[in-house]
Amino acid sequence: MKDETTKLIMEVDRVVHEPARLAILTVLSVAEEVEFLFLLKVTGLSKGNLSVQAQKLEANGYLKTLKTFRGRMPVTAFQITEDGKAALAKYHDHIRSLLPAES
Amino acid sequence: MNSLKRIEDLTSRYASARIGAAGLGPLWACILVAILMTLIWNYINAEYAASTEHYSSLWGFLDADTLSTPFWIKAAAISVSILTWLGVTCLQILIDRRFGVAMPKDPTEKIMRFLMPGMFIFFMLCSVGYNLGQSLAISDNNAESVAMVTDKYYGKSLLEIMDIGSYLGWAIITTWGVIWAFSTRDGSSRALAGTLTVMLFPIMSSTLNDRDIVAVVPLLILLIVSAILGLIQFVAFLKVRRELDALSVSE
Repeated sequence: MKDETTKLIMEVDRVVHEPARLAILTVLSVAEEVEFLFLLKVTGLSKGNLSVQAQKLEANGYLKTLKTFRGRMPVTAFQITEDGKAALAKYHDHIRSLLPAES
Repeated sequence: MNSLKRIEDLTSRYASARIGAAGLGPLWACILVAILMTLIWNYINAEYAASTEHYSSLWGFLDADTLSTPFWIKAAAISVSILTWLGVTCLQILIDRRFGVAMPKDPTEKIMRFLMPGMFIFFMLCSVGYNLGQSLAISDNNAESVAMVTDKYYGKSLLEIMDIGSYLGWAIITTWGVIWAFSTRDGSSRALAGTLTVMLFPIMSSTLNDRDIVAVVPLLILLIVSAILGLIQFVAFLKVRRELDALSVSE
């Protein structure tokens, strides 16, 4: 039983489990597309950290980076992928199953 | 790190409140349309006062269908559509400057992007078809027969029968509506483009009459309701912006 629980805990998707990445995916999951600036403000991450975490999520296929121009200004936006949505939903279920039942 | 529930709530509220220039788009359109309507109303009243014929009332004067739409009214109507788009675009840039863009989830977005411009074109074609039919069928005693054209307009080309200014006005308004509705990804701005395009159609007709007024009024009411809802949306936007500000300060 103990081994099984440990195994379950160890099976948590670590890409999603990291707090900054979890926050990014949470924001993206409720919007169609989010710009870098909004993610920066709402998550409270630093520019560097946000870039690194977004790159990791993109490398895992959980988000898509969209680079466009607004006039002459380059704009970076992000969109959650179907894999990203599925990974986030699975992560929520997984964490819920690990938590003790509410009394 | 902020709680996930909180950032999820702020994101969805911000995304839905920022569209349509945070609700100020319909208000801006309402101001421009009000100016246009005032100009039209003043013109109608001036022409009614100067009329040598006797009419029982202003409505009777409009019903007689003798008041031609001057070029400046048509030009003003076209500028309303263009100025509304310009205003909404500028306001949206100002609104997005601080926190950037978060697009709300809209499953109909892709369909509406093509459906709405398609509807504008269909509406224009129907109007052109109907009016062209009327132009061809018209006679001194309003006979319906298309054959009448051979009596009244015998030897005249189609271009001489139709009012080119009106058709051109419709084409410009429709083209602008299509460009606007296709280029925006925001359902609220697209609805505004639709309301304005349809509303400005009757003003483009060759004469200003009671039927045009009747056609414009429901859309004017729709625009006023949109402006009121827009104001409510703007208050919601200010609230979520304050919360986002507080979030940034607490970091």
